[in-house]
Amino acid sequence: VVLSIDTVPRKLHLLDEQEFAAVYAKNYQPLLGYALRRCQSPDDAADVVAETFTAAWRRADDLPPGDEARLWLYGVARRVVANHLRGERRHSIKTAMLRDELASAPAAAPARLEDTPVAQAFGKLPDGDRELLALVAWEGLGNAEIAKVLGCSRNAVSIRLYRARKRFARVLRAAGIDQEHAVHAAKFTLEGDHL
Amino acid sequence: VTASKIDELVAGLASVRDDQTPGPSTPAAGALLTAITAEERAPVAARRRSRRRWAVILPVAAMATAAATAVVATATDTGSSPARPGHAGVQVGSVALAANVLDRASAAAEHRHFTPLQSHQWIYTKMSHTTGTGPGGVVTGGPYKTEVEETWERADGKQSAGIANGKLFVGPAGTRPQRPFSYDPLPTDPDALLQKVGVRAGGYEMAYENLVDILALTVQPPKEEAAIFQAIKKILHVTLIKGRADAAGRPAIALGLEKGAIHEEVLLSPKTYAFLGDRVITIKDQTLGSNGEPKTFVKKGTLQSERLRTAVGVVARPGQRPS
Repeated sequence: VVLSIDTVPRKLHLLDEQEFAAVYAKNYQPLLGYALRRCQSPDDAADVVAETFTAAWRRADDLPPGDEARLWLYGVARRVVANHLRGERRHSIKTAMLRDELASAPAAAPARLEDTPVAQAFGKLPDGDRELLALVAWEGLGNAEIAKVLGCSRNAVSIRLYRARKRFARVLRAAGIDQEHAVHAAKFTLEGDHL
Repeated sequence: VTASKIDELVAGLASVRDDQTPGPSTPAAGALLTAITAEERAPVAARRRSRRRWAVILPVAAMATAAATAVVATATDTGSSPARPGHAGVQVGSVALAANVLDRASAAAEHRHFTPLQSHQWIYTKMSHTTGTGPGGVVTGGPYKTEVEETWERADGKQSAGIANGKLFVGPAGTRPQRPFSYDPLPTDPDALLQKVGVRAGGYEMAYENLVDILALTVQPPKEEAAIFQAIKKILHVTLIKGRADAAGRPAIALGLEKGAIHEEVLLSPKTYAFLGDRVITIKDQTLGSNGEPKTFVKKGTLQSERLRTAVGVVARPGQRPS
């Protein structure tokens, strides 16, 4: 009668329910914001949040500690959003309440990229460019943080970001958009929201 | 053009700021957290692929099959515990025996009575999920908690329904079938089937898990179901445990994939070879721990999680139960 004992995994952190709840509470709004800014509908955003945190729960030992957890979650959410855009929609039962809540939350209005000329220009960029620019401008991440989200080197991020900004400038020019004017218009709209 | 101007323009396109979204203390956020943490998660050992795969022989009854097992490593045996859910005496049999059972399961599936499903019909399943009551991660033993879940999946996999807070909730219809319905129609060739259910994307372990989900949640025609068992037969390290009962007390054949210290089992009826459920059980004693944390001892034969299908049927609309 024999049996073998497996090698004990070297680095093992069992994130329990309480620890997970703390990670969830801390990152819930950034993740929901991330999803709402990228999804066509709040329903999709709810699913993205649910799927991302579910992946985190299942792979809790992969989740980095502290602030890096948010970057890891963005990385997962990015792939989940991409799957949703490809049409893999689930609308899991888990998100029923959240979808109801978002449906009645005015702030959760979906991103409408077709609304303004600048938005249309942004919509013409390749997916990778849009995500890079968005991580900077929407999530406020620096190059090192973006490198963690995308799983690439910081150097690669700065090169890609440089090119993405250049491409966006070119698309704006081609669309006849005066950038100075456009910036002011954007600011005005943002401030107008608060009045 | 300066970088900051570009960034400012992009910032202006954001539809919502983080602090404008509902916070984590709303009931909806709480319900989602509860739903997520209620989900079973594979023990850590399951998520770490062991480079060495040892065939294991545990107490005596399996000795007859010793010839068919591969490498055997020596270690201590702490003895078998009395048979009860979660700590039944584990007897891991051979790959050859598993193949034998899978052949019979495949033949039984092929001769099963079958009425083709219409896309507007719904598949009703009642599952009981058993997991440890302790914090997530590895389950070291009882007590266990069991939750019963009823779900309805439209036969085309594009819509699902369930019961939340005592009320029927019907999800919106999607454009594509969700997993595991997304693999329909299944190839009847076992090799093609393995490829389709994920060998390319996630290896044989993913294929195995998808095949078990297909058995658990969908209703397949005879030839397709027969191919599922033939496909499982082709996956290495699938072994058999005989003479077991599931947590509902039904006799069961437990057949499954060895992943290091755990056995990911599919439970079949010993009479009809119909799907009864699936579970994860440890088949080796294991001590886990790291970085000065207290060590956790997991005894072989410890149930990690179990999902039993206690009812299944085809109905006309969600909310309806088969008579």
